[in-house]
Amino acid sequence: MKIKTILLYSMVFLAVALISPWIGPESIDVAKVLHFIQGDINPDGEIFWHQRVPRVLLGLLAGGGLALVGASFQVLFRNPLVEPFTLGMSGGSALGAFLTISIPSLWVVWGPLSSVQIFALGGSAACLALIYSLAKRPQGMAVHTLLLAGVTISIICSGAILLLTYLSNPNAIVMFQRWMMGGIDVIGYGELVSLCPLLFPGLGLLFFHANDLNHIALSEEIALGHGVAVKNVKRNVFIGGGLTTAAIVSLVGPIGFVGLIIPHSVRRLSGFDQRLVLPCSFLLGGAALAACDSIARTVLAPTELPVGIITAIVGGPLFIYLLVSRYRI
Amino acid sequence: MNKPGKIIIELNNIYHRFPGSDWELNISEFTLSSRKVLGIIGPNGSGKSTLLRIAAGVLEPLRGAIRLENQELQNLDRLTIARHMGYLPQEVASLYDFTVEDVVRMGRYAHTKGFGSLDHSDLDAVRYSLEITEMDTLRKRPLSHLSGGERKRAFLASVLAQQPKILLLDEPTSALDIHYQVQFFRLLRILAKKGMGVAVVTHDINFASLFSDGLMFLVEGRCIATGPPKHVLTGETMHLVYGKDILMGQHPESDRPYILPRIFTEKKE
Repeated sequence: MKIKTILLYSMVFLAVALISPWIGPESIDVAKVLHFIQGDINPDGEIFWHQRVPRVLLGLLAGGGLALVGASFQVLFRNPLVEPFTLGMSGGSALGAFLTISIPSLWVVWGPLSSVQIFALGGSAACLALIYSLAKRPQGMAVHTLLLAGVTISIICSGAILLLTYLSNPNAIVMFQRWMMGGIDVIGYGELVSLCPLLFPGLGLLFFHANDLNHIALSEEIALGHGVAVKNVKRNVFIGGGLTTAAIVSLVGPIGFVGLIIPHSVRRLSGFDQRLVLPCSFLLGGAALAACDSIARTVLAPTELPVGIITAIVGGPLFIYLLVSRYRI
Repeated sequence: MNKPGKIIIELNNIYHRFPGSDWELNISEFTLSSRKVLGIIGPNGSGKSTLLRIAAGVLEPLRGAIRLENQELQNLDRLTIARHMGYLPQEVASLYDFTVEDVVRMGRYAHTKGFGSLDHSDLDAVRYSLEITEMDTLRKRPLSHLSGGERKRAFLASVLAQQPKILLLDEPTSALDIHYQVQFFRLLRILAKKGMGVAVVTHDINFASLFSDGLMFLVEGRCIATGPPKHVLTGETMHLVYGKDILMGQHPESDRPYILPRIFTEKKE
């Protein structure tokens, strides 16, 4: 039963993974793509292997990661409206990105990472550390403090961003606004690899605690009684979710709704056993973001829409449908 | 009822105060032995639940020593504690609508490896717990479709599936009707006979008196009397704590005391 469900989601994931690289403004010849692997350099193969494939991979990883973090955080905070960005990490990230966009002297490059990514990562990591130190207590994390501190830091970052917007030149503002819309368009394998050292430990921590999260969803005191090390689990889920979010947001910007809608859709379709919800959210989230990105790069071809617009416009109505349908969130 | 048991959990010189409150808990000694049912009684706010939460390691007291089978509780990890001790809190507000069976299966956490997949002995324990709590016919029901009493029994089954040596139960019968209350306390006796030590916090002085080997009577964070029911539930203590509005009697089937309300405030000679 469980294996079947996961297989079903895996098939959707694989289908999107296999189909989306072929979708885009330029039509691609299958034969040329295959020849490209054998050493025949041609534009079709170049676009397919060096633009489309890494882009689809990033979409799958980023969408999956965001949905997974959302699913875990909704249990950790016992709140159905929490998503990866509720904790203000996108605020910190955006502030970091805007700083380096509007102040050219901050421009640095490190390996495959651009200045914007480095600063975005630094901003979200700083937020993560700050929130964690604020909510840390001897008897465990104060979850409400965590949530409130996160939301407050988000607001502070928005204030700082408004100030920067007021002071910056229009070019920087346009660049920043484009970043805020979220996108997985500027991407090569180098950036993809640079994501891994943070992303995979984060994802691993979350998956590892799937069963523990079931017990925590039931009741923290019961979980303790059952033998779950609640304090450690909560800390690990927070840190795992934080690392994953920081890695993703620094590369693709704040892509909304995936982290909120996908976990709720999965719970509606397949129940609320976290051992199913977490992997299935990852698979469906990845498929959804990669699919939205395929729409984003074709719908207004040859121009590209930022994928954040598609996820919000498609995701928003879907979420409202979930709210008004009989399903209890 | 009088076979001597081995002390499994022992609390000494417990002191606790919640931040921003002047209420204090002061318990010099609390022990729970195998083969015994210990009833913890007392009026509202007497510290019954707080004491139980401290014994369960859910709440850390400001001062005091807790020893579980001669080991400091704070040095044990939760898994080890869970294999020795089952704890049933008073209120359970679940985030999701798990079924009875889900909840009972989760009780096996301390005995399973790897994402809670259950083997034969686990499933046997689950089946046994469902049967002994008379929940096996309701196993597929979600929590939201249960009455208050059925919920209590579902969570008790979950704790029993844990197969602990001692059980700490906080108001397990508060929502049960009298049939299940009797069943429940009889079940506690059966478990004690099989070797378990049971501490049960309850408002129901009569059930505590009839089914416990020992009672602990808490008032305002202190233990004012402890021992066999007939030594604890004396007319003097009861009147001191609950005023003159109760009558004491003796249960027809045993020498155990019970209480009844008075109808009239003034006793006419």
